[in-house]
Amino acid sequence: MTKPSNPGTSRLVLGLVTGLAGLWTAGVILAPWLAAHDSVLGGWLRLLYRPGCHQISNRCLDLGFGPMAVCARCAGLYLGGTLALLWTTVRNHSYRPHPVWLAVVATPTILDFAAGQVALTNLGNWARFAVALPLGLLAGLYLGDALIEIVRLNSAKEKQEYRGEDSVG
Amino acid sequence: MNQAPSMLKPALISGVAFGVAGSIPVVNWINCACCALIIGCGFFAAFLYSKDSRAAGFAFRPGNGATVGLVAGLLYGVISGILGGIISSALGMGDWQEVIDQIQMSGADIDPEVLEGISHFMESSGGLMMILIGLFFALVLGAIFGTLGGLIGGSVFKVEPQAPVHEQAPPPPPPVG
Repeated sequence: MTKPSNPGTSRLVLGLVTGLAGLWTAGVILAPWLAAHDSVLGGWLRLLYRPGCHQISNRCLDLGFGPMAVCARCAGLYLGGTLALLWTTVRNHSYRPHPVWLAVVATPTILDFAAGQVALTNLGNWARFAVALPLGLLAGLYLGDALIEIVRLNSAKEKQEYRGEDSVG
Repeated sequence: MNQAPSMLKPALISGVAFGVAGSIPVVNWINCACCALIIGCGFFAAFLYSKDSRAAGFAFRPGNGATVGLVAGLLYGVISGILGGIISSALGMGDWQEVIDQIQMSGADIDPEVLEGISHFMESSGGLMMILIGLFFALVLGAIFGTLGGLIGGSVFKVEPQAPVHEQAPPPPPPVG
């Protein structure tokens, strides 16, 4: 666990990144909502998510106003990442799980993806969302840890110490 | 004093390997899962660099991971953009009409005359314009998601700097008798 040496700055940076992640995740729901309310922005917003997701309608979650702008798996990853960043921001402490956990939580998503590619059985949308959520959470935790560490190393005192450490290596 | 390991080698290995994978038509579907190939490219570059850093006795931090991930992501963009464009043109894929269909399917409200004008321009420029547009997007996405993968890799494979080794005085001899 990394404790920030400069809590104000790290919270500001984390808050900023979490805000951006929150906006990005909210856009996933906002796009179909805008489209359902005959707004031109809905289509453009959906287009923004196009490079990172196939956006196949029947693989997207639907909250009642049309399919979301990304598939259920991507929605799970985005929401998980945002929640983990939010948690790190609120606590202002990083939590870095053992790397083995990354393999553990990635395996179901990889298996589901592979099964989908070879036309084996497919999970339902909500199951795919639930399977991807922990992977997003873990990625968000690592991202939060990385951001806190970068802020820590860029505070003047730590910078000096880091240079001292490097010259030793 | 040891020399810090070069960042170029891990970035090059990862960027080329993932860039080639990303330009192969069916393999690049992996990118449909949140640009997983590009994030993987940055992540793998961070893993390789952390190994080199550990061997050389240097610290490996998330900042290093982000940097090597960015370079690997950019290399991914160049390779997959050019190679993917060439493969798509050779196989008759990546037609501009497909892009227009996607824009229309997304529900974006664009004047049909504007779309027709762009289509005409794209057709007259041949496949080159499609390759250039593909390259631009591959570079932008490569930079963003490569850095993200490198940052995550930087946290996962963190290597703390070695503690300074102080020469210690030998322990006093045991009392005689």
